[in-house]
Amino acid sequence: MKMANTVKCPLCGTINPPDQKICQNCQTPLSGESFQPGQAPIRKDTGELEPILPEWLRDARETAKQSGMEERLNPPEQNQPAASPTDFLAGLQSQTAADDDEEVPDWLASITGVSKPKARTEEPAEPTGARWVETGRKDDFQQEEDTPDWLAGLQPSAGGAEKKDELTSDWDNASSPFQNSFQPLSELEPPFTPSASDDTPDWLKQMAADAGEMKSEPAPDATLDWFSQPPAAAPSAPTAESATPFVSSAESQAPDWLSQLQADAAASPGSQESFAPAAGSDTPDWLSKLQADMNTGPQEEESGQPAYTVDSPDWLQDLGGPPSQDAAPFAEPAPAESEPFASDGELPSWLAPEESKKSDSTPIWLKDNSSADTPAWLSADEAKTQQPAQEINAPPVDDGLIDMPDWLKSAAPEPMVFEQPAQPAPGIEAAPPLTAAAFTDDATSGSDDLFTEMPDWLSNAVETPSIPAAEPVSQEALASGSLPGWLEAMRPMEQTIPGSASLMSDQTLEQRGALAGLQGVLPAGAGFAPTSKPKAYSNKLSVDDEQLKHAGIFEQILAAETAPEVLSTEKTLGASRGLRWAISAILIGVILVTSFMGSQFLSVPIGVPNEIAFAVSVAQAIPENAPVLVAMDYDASRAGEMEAAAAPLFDNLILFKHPRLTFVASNEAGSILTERFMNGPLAFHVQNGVTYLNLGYLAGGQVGIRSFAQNPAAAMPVDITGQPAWTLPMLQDVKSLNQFALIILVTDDADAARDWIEQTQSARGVVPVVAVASAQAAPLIQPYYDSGQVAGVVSGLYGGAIVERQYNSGRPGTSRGYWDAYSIGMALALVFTLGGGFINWGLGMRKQPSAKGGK
Amino acid sequence: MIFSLDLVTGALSLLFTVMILSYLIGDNPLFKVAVYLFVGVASGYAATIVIWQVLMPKLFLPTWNIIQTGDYSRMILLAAPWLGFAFILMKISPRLAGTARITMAYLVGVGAAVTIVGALTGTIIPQIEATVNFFDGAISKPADQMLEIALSGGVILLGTVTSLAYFHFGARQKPDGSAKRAGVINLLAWVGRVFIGSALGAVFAGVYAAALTALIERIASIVGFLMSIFGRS
Amino acid sequence: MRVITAVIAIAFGVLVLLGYFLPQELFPNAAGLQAVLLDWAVILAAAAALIGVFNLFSVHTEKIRRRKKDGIYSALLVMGLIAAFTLGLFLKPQHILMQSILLEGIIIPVEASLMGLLAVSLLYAAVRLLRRRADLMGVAFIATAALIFLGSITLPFGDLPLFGTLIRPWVSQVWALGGARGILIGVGLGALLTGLRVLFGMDRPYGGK
Repeated sequence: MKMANTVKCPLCGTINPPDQKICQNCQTPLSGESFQPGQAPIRKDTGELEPILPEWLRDARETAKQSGMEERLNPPEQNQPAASPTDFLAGLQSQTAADDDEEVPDWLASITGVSKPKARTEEPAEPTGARWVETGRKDDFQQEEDTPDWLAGLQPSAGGAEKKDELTSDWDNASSPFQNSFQPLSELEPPFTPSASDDTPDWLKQMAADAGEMKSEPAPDATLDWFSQPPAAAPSAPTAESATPFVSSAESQAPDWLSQLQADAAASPGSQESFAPAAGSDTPDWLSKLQADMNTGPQEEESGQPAYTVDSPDWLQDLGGPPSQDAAPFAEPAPAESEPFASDGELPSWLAPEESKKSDSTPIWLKDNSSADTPAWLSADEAKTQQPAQEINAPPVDDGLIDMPDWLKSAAPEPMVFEQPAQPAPGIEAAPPLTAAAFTDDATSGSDDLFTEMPDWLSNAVETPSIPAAEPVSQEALASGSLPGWLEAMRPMEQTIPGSASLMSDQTLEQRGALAGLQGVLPAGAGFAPTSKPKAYSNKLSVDDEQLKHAGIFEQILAAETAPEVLSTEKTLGASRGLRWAISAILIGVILVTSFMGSQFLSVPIGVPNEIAFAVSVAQAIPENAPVLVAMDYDASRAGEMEAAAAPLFDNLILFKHPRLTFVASNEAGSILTERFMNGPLAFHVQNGVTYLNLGYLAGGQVGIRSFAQNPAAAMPVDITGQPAWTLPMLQDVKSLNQFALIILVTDDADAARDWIEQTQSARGVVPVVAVASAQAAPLIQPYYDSGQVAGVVSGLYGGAIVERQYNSGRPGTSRGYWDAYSIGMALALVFTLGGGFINWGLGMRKQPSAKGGK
Repeated sequence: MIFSLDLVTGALSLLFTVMILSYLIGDNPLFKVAVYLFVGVASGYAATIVIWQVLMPKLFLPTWNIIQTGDYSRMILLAAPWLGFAFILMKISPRLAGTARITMAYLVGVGAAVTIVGALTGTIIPQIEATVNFFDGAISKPADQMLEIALSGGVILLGTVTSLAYFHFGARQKPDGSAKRAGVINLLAWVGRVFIGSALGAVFAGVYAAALTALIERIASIVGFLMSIFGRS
Repeated sequence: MRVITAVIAIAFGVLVLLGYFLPQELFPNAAGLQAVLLDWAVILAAAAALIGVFNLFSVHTEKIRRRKKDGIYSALLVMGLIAAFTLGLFLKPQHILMQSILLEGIIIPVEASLMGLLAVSLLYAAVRLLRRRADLMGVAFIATAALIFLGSITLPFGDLPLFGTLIRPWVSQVWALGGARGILIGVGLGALLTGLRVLFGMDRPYGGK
């Protein structure tokens, strides 16, 4: 309908009536006096109105102060915020002051699509997006999941908001951090522990509780608690008759923003079908109430049968429903039929405890109010509650403003009720009807008014003192399409969100809803658009001890693997080749000289060790011409040493005892080395007719030795010539191992000696074993000597030289011929070992301080 | 006379000794030639020893005797060795090499049994008894001997126990994941390190003595050979 | 095949064990059976050694055939092996020619010379030992070796006083004996456990894992 004088919307171009203050289409203020984005609301100090409180109210407050409200509000087990208890409603204010750092509810933050992180001015902008993610706040990314479905529609429909960053996607799954943030609330409010049927938002509960119970300190984060409630668990709400005391009074003193909702509802009679499905159990009460308002309209009021869903909170139901006949304002002690929570037994938990203590816990001032001493301002309001809802839409009378106490002002939406002229928005009646579509992504006009007119106590949650208010907000300025200052203050500042510049550069003009008329407030891109500064989360994993232990082991392994190995340079004592050449030259030179000279100027050892003495004595103790078994088990490499060590003993034995020597070899070369031995150092005896029997090679190692020990004749039936050995005179009367008079073990290998000693242990009986061992095998044969398994040991050239000198008159002289070179060679070894050791040790000691100094 | 067997032997001995000792200068073809030739000769020599001194008297000749005499009743004792010998000969063929496992399994099984009994009765029990019995009769001996026995026996006992503790590698895992031996075991192992180091030092000295003797024997042999040649000439 | 080999190893091992422990009076054939089994083992061990020599021959023959690097040395090895085997097969190992040429002329000089090289290498290692390992065990190692070296040195008129007559014997017979006995018992325990593992089928060194 066009009129002669029309006003054209500067944004959308819609022609509006001349008296229209805001655009009918885009809700853009037409007067140019709109509340500008970014403008902060003005903090109102209602304390100055304290003196004008009614007498009864001041008395009530004093009584409350004296009756230990502080103890009630701060029980020992509760962690109430440290608000000043002096003003029993100052908790709202104090909480907002104390909770400046608290998170703005997401449903509030998301209303603009890009909400402003609170305390933005105190937190420096993160330079990188990565950092932004690290310090993200849980709520920033929980909106999609944790916001009830009915509110999801209120959130920006930008696709980017629906996509989650992979870094933050887990946050949704890990709901514990989110829940933890609300954990204190549940601990703080044991009396208000919500029952299964209570889904009323806590901030609303708290408001009601404060009003009804005179609690001045709502729990911190109470406004967030209802987010923690799963939407599916929406309980039944009070019935239409439910009328909380607060709401009852508020009905008469209905804030304009609520009255405006009613007006909206009244103007939308035809949308009930579409709205009904949305008013399920998942719908919060206060929105259900809105829904009910729209659905029922005047018809419901006339019928007196409320069609509200059970989810609607009472105070909202009363806004739109028929005023209860019994519901007097502040009439908690009212009879059961007037008590909304007693009617259906589904009391919201936040009221249930209070009900039980109404008799004694009702504040005096409330008791007074319940009587006929209702003040005039309340009486007037009470009378108003009898009016049809349509009449509420009339311009509110601000008669209660003067008498309204500060606490009530601060509890109620301040700008709308007390601070702003209670004038109906001109465009309210022309506002688009609130339909179910209003709760969809792009149709929020019906609810925009609700969200754009937040209570002051909520707006105070946003830290805005640094932002000066331009001017008092007028009712017109808060019209649809212009954001109020408190909401604008929550909008994120684009320069503080890394990566959001591109998003903000999207200058798409919002056509509808609370953002109508604003450009670039909703991210149009498909990317993720952070809505607020993310919280800092701990990246600690929840692991048990076993996992920690395994992780520790794995870490140690990795550390060991990745630790650089220090490569020590070996520059000491010259190059290795030079040192080797020097050692070789000295050693070979000494041996050559002594060999050429045939020097025998050094004495052979004089002292006789016990093992040598026992070996000789045992060999000399055998009977004459006794069979002696000689196990030859040495390699050709040590033939010289073994011959030098064994020859004196054998020479002595042959000379004095004429034994019948039977040789058996347990290595391949042994049998041939036996021939070499007998025809070398002992050739004199062989040439003189001394015979011996060489049984040859005994294969199989210790298996062969065991076989031989068990049955020698079967194991070695013939000698190396192929003749049957056990029929020869050498082995006459010898059929088993224990029939030998002596076993001489000639070996250069400790393992071979061990095999012989072990495997013949049971077969040899008491037959003594004398070991002629290489010097390298002697240390490990020594224990067998100590244990008596070996009667004596002659080891190496040292032992051979002793036997040769001490027991054999220097025969055959092999050891003596080698001795000078041997003794000098040992001296060289001593010099090289100790000298080199000391030098290297000293160098190492000198290197350590330098290494320490380097560290 | 000049070209006697001793001369050839001496010449070969000198040649190969020098070829091997040339390794002191560095790895060289002479050293390689000597080593490869030595390995071949020693292997062939060992093979002939095995054939002549083991297989011939214990397998081939008995079988031949049985065949000659026709007394096949004794052949049953030789059937198994022949069968095992056949199996192990199949190791030559890569396709049938797996059959040789049967013979090897037999050898391993018999060897394991022999090792068990030998280690138990020949080393473990006697050595433990010797450690314990070292002090037997010491109390009845004069004071000086008793002191000597006590000292020596104590040292041996301590060395034995601590050396065994050193080889005890059982440990409990600590909460931080690291493994550490028990305190007593750790202390004993620490002492055992001294004894094991001493034992290995003695072995080292013995190995050096044996090697030195071998070197002396070689050089003396060369000197003797050269002196015999030049003395004759 | 795995099962067969395991059964063979375990069964014959147990039979040999029974020959040790069963009383001769009650089981007179147990020892005899053990002797037969051991005799078979001796024969088969010799056969295995022979197969080892043949394997060496085939490996180096293959290297010659493929003209690999150091093939000339392999040719020398094969030639020496064939010569020694042929001579030994016809002359027998104890033949004087075999002893003089092969044993005295080649085998003993080469092996003894290699041992001589070991003396130089050990001295070289002893010089650098404390550079590498200057801990308690290294010090004990060097000290013991030095004492034995010192005790082995003689003067023109006799032993080095105190070291040759007292310290060296005490070190070798008492001090080093404790550690050596511990090593021996440890080796014995290891051998015992290894044998038991074989007989229990836990270890199968003959293949079949």
